[in-house]
Amino acid sequence: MKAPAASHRAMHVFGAVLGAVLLAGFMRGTEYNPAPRVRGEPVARPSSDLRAAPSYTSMMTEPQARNTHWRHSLGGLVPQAAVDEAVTQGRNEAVAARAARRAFDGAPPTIPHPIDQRGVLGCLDCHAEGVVVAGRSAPAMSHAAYTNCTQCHVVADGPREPAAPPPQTVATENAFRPVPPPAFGERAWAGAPPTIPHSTQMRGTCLSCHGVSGAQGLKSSHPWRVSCTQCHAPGAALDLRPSMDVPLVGRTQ
Amino acid sequence: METDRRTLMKLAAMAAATTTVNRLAQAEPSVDATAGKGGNWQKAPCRFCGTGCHVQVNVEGGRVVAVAGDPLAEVNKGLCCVKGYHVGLALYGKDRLRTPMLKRNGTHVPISWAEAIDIIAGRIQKDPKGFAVYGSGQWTIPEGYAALKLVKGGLGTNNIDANARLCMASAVTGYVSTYGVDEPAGTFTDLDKCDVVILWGNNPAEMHPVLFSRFIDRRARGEKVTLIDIGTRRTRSTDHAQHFLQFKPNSDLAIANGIAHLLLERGTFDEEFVRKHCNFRQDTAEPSLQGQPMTLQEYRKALGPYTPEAVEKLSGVRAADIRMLADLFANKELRITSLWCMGMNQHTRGTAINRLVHGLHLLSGHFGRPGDAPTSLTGQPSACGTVREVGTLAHGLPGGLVVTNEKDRAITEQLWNVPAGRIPAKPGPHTVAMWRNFSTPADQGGDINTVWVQCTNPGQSLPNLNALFNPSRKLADKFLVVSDVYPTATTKDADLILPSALWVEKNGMTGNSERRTQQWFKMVPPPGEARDDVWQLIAVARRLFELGNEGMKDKDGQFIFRQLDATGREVPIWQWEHYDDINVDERLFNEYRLFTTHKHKNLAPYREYVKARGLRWPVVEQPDGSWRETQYRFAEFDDPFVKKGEGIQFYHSVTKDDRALIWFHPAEDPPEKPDAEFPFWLCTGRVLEHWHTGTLTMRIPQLRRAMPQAYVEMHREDAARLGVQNGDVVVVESRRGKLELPVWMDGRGSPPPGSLFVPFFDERMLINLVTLDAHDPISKQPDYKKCAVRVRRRPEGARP
Repeated sequence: MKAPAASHRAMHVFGAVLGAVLLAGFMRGTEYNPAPRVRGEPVARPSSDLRAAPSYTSMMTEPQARNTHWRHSLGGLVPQAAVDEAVTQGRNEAVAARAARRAFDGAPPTIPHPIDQRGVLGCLDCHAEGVVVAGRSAPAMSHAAYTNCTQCHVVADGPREPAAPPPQTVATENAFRPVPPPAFGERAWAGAPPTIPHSTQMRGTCLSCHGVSGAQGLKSSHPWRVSCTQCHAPGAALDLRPSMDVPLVGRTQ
Repeated sequence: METDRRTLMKLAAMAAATTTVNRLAQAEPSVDATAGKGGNWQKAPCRFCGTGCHVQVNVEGGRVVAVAGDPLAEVNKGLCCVKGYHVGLALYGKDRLRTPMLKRNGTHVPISWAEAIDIIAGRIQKDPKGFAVYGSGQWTIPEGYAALKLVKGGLGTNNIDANARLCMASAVTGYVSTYGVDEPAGTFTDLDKCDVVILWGNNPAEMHPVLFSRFIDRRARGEKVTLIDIGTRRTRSTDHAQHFLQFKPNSDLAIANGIAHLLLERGTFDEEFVRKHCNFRQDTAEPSLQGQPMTLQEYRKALGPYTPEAVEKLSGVRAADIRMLADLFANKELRITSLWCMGMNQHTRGTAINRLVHGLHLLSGHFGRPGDAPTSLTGQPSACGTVREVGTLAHGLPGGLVVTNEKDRAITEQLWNVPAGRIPAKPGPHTVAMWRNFSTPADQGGDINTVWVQCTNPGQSLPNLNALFNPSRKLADKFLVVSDVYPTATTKDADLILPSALWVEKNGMTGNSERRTQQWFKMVPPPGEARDDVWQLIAVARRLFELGNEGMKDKDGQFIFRQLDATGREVPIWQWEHYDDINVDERLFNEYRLFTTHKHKNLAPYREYVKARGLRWPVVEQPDGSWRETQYRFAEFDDPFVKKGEGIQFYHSVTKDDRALIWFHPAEDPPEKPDAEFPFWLCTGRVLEHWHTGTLTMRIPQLRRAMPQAYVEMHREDAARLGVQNGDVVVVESRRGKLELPVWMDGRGSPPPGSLFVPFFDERMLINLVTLDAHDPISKQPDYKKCAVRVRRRPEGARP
């Protein structure tokens, strides 16, 4: 039998050493090391911050500091009216912001950011699920996906105009008075689930506005419940359903 | 039996729930109960394009307050485009016309309606033959019918034409000379069924977005739809296409011939279909509607030179792509729908290219099955319903009848109860001829001295304005009357302006591209003293009657627009306060529909349209008294007029043998093409946000802000050579006029080097000062898509 060449032996030795080092490194890496990686001087805290553990006997008479704001009588609460007002205000702000982006309630909102004029647009990258970044939200679509987004949604401010466009010749004001934004849904009694105060046509995905990425005043208090119409009834009149049954105003004979 | 009991209980609960839901759904909410909650919704077709979407209009306090897509409408299935959603705002621009105005000493001063009507009637009475009406595909059906009856039945002239001449005349001549009768055999339903859509110079992603979505969204449902865009520039439609075939302007005839050549060469055309249903045809020396017969052998020989390689040389489209198209047409398994609009129609060879595309479908047998159809799209809400069907054209009569046919004239005169011979046999002037005549002094043959324009804006939309429109405004005895809703490029220089009611401010009926006739009721009052166009026409007719104009009397001496109430008394509908006493629309429509049976364009009575979201003609009464619409014409399985057992029958055949015509036309040069002096092609057109001349859409803030002004699209190479960047202003100049426009590269469209595109919606930048008025020899439709221009940087020191 021929002895292995010297270079082969060297390689075997090198391989064995490398293996041993790797194994040792791996074992060292997986070792539980409770010691913090960075050690520093302990932070000195004023003794006033420290609270002595209460005794069982004192617990009955002295409220625990952490819960000092707890109330045990309804009288001291923020009045319901103030809560309602805050909720209403938040909602009104959200509704006003919403109205500013569309001609009337139910009109397709305009796009508040620049878009590509051509090409297959990436609208769904953000608007399929909805995204919130740094306080700005790209709401999820409220309707099923259509391919040609720009068919209905146009930019709020168009392509850059040249420095001095010709003077406008048409009246730019429009006296259209939109249908007012929806009021609150009706509740049969305080605490009952409100009805849906707006049409659900093209707005069937409730979480678009009422989900976690929705505006503060419109968010659901229970976004984990996803079968919305289980409790919130749509209005037949708002759903455009009775159109053929509504007596037509006009020159019928 | 626990299970059964549980099931029973479930069923009972479900029944109870269903009953409640039904009750909710069917409850008739009174208008009052839902006031303030958006409950009063009524149906109307959209005011804008020829797609004919239905919208639901929310009316409160006599005003439109919201609009929604109509889920019950088959055309749009609840979806609209951005114009449709904002159509309600079109009523409320601040500068609506509210009172009649007469030009005195160069300024417009308000006058009364009585004065206005007197002035028009006076001018007509003085010279009935010098009076012409220029109408519109935006006329409602009753408006067009009243105008036609006034001119042809009353004044006994054919001096009436409509702006649809500028948009679909070539489609009409294409249909008439192929099938013997106008309008598509298929419908929009084909878009749901086809495997392949071919766009012939068409950009539906912007111009017919609802139809575009109708087939593009099928992909999202897992269906395969192959989109082929044959165009001269890249557009939003191109972005969704599998194949983009960019051709040199005017070479579309070569492409069609190349496909036909391969079908014959390879023997992959549908021999049986052709043998049973087709004849071959070619032009006479002077192009005509009838042409002259040719044999299959002659046809094959004529196509001989159009090999894929030769077509590549002519058109710039790769030979491989011509073969790809021929392969598609050869495959009978596929359903192919061809769509076109202005690209093929606004073409000096418009009739020819229309015929060739029909020919490809006939030759390959891609016809008469759902999804297999050559379908032209229209740009106006009633280009089909009013102009083509009512026949408000120089040669037209209602229901597809024509003045050149003695029998047709007799039918019309009899239905109108006017003396025989009232209607002249010679067609009147077509649009370009009418306006050229109006712009010509009387002593040089310009015998038309009064033109009444309704629902259109020729001062912006006519081609070559410096030749066709502007001169008339400087001639003393040329009197222009304009009925419109806003100040426009036309009213600016009009002698008399009449304020009109718009859309749901009046009753109306329109007809869309797929033969669908639609109806709506008046929902809100018009502003100020604005009044219906129908009323305006009838009021003038009545004034003429009172002045003793014999034409305004029928054979019995009665007023030609006489209407009786239920008690048999005549209703003075010419008095505005009595106009609403009866439904004049219903009366006029029911009179008009009597014409429609002659060419198998049968319409149902008015009341049927009240119930429907439009019905596609022919609408035929069934034994049970119901009315059935027709989706597929000439095909036995759907068209009630096809003889049983025929399969396909072209029952209005030009050759009277139930066959359609396959035409041959050679590819030829256009009348003007780029040269050393004017080296660029200029194409004009529309954008998504604006509709035609922008008089409505520029007043809708959401649309105007999205697309504030016109521009010129240019390729980067050309811009670099000119040393201009986006937003820089250039001068676009042709032999006829010039215009300053900002440059936009890679914007909505990307033309190839040497080509420009300018939209025509902006009245501040009238591109029609530059365009060409050369027109198709048969359809008389001008070519807005091709002329030669040069471009230069705006000189220093010019308007900043």
